[in-house]
Amino acid sequence: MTALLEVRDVIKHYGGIAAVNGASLDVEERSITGLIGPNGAGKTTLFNIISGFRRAEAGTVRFGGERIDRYSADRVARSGLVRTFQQTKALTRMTVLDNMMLAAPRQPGEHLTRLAVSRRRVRRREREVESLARELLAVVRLERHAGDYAGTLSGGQRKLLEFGRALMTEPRMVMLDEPMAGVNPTLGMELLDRVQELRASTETTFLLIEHDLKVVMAVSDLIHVMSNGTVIASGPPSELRGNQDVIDAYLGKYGEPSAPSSGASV
Amino acid sequence: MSQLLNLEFWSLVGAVSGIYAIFSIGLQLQFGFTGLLNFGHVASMAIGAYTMAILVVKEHVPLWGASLIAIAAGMLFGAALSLPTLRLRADYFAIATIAISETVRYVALNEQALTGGALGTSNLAGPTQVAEYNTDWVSFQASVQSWLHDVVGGYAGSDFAMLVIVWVVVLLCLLVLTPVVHSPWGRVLRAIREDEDAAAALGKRVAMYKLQSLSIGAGFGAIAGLLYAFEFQFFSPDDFDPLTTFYAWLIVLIAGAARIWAVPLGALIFGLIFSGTRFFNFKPFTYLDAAQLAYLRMIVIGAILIALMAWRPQGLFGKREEMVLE
Amino acid sequence: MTELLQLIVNGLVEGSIYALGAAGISLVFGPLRIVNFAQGDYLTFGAFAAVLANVDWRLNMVFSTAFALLATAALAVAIEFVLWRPMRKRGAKTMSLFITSIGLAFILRASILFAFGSGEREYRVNVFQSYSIGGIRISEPQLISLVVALSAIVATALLLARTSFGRAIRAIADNVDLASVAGVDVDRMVVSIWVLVGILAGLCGVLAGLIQSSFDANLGFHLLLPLFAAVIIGGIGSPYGALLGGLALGLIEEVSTWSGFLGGVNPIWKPAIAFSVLVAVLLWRPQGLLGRARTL
Repeated sequence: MTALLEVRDVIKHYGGIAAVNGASLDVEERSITGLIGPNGAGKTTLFNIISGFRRAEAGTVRFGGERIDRYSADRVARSGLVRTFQQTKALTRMTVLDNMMLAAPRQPGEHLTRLAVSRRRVRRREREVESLARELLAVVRLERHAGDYAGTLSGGQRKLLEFGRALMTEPRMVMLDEPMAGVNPTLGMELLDRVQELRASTETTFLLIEHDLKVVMAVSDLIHVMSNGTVIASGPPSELRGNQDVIDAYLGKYGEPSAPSSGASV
Repeated sequence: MSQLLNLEFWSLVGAVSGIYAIFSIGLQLQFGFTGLLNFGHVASMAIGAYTMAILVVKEHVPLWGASLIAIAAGMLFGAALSLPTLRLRADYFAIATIAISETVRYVALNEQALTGGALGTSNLAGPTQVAEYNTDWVSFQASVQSWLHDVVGGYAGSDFAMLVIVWVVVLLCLLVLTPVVHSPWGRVLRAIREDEDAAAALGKRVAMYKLQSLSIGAGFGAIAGLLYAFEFQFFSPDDFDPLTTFYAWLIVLIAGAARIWAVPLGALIFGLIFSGTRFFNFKPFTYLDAAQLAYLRMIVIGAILIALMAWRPQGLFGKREEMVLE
Repeated sequence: MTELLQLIVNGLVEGSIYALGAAGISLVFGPLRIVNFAQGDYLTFGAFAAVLANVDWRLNMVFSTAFALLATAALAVAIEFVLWRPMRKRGAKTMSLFITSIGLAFILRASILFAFGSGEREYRVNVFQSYSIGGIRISEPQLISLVVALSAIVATALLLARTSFGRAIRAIADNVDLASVAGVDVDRMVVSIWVLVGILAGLCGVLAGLIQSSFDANLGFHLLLPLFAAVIIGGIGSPYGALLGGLALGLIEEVSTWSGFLGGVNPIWKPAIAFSVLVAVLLWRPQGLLGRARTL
């Protein structure tokens, strides 16, 4: 059975240095997969390449069997592979509800010709989208802020908003870029609880980049470890615990049960 | 003092304000809603006016047909303008648009055979004739005037008729555009203004929306160009220099981002300030001649721009919170 | 062949003036992130200050130019204290500052028009004296301008490269926060940068007026777009790039009319050349000659 996401031998240089140097990984459908590694390992670059924000020099990326490595960012998203950003991109001067409604797919009102011609259908879909948006806002516990400007939300709330927004797109797979970074641990754990619930109740697949090893170990079915631009180890958390390469990659930071997370509280 | 109550004068001020309102509505769509720094907007005005005049004088196309084609030409230009944005950051794009609009003005200036060159539209039929594109419009305006005469009596001069026509067009523009910008389409534009990467990450075809925004905005610019051409019955490349674009920016900034109905208000305020200085015929201003008053006006406009940026960046009608969140 | 050499010389005369003006724009943008749309009017101010000294006060051109440099530097510093610094303290960002600079441009230009009127002006120099060197004609104003401008360019480049002042400027241009942490007194440096920019702008204005034989208050504004083009061609953020871009633009403008290029471009299109090169650079190599490639 082929994996939902297949990344093979991706290479990308920045100014002479290979940020990603032949990285390969698989993400199985309906899994929660983790991508970890020390700073500079190339995780974010790989994320950007998979999601279409950067172009790789070599290698392939297949999503649902289709090659997406030449797709633009918006086309990747329309294929059902949606991502969040480490520095949240909450659309600050729009309301929380608008942020959510924006993300819904199949909106005839977004196309000028259909806006002019099928007025009734446009209105109907708007009402649908609004109630879906409010439902999802309740899932991420932001329903009370629906009318507020997104710019008034705290960092953790913005992460939840981005997550909710990603879910509005009815994705097959969601890539979460450091969801715990810079966030109050309680809010962060909430987000991960939602991830697990969603994996159980829907068909959605999740890929997370995270620094907080404790969290990733607890939540993931499978983990890929990156170092120096390649994936050096892959396996379930239990297998990786004793893996020497992985330990070396983290230079001993790994394996301390009370290692503080690097994120600041918000 | 009698000039202060001169209806014909104020009709002219009102009509020109209305033309600037339409022009600025186009820019508001591009900048206020989509976040595109178009500093070459005047080019769409020029293309609208020149396309119509050239078609009427040289190809003997009827006025209304030529006007529709002119608007289409303006929209095509706007669509072409979207090509540089695909790869450029905001401030680089701004400079590119100025360069492009100056190139358009330059073509108008130098291609004498096509546009009449520096001598303007009177030269369109060649040096031996004085060309006129306006004849059909003048009769239209006259019929509007006589209709108004029946309605409001003796006050209806030809300037007043023009005023009414222009502001009816302004109203139509607002009525058409308002539901559009409050629609899901408008929501995508605002998302692009806030963060186009976020919009792309949600699957929105950012390039297509930018193209539509620039194209429709340029269409409004072309309409403004047509009305300008009809109002003054003659124009030359000098009428379409960057200063005009800056006036539109001033109006848009006065109105505040993403406010459509505030734009005509901003245009009226601008028109009042601009022509109001005419009435400074009390000391110390009597010591100045007309040219110096014009320079004083420029200083006032510059000062207002700076004051707006310093103390009221959200415009007269925008919300403060939106600015703080920027 | 002599035609080509003549065009190259003309190109260097123009280009060296562009280079000075462009360096001024670049030095302001790097550290201060201000796209200064009023820069053209700083040039005009310099040109007219020299007119005042040369025509009204009957000073010779050397003293008049020196006066112009001082006056423009003083203007630049005054504007920094009255406008730029307060705006920065209010947290004004690039866009607001750009629009502010447009307002400033209106004010400056209208003030010059107010004081001097809209007529054409010229310096009390002999514009008809010209020399012929190896078949290449160059008028006296052009020759003087070329020599002065090239010297100023070399001096500026050395200043930036060899002195601690130059290093501090480049440090601020790279990263303001880092520079101030490294002990650079940013506020004072900013004033010094404006002094340098004022001098360069004043010189550029005087020389531009010199080679045009007569000019009006729009002198600087007409130069502004070619100057922006030069900065972008050379690479935003690099003052050396601006110098290089200015020279390159001047050469491109003149040499494009060479008959060796399939008859050459009609000279009336020269300003359009600047714009076309600008757009082309923005499309294909946005970082210019010496700028760093940014991930856009």
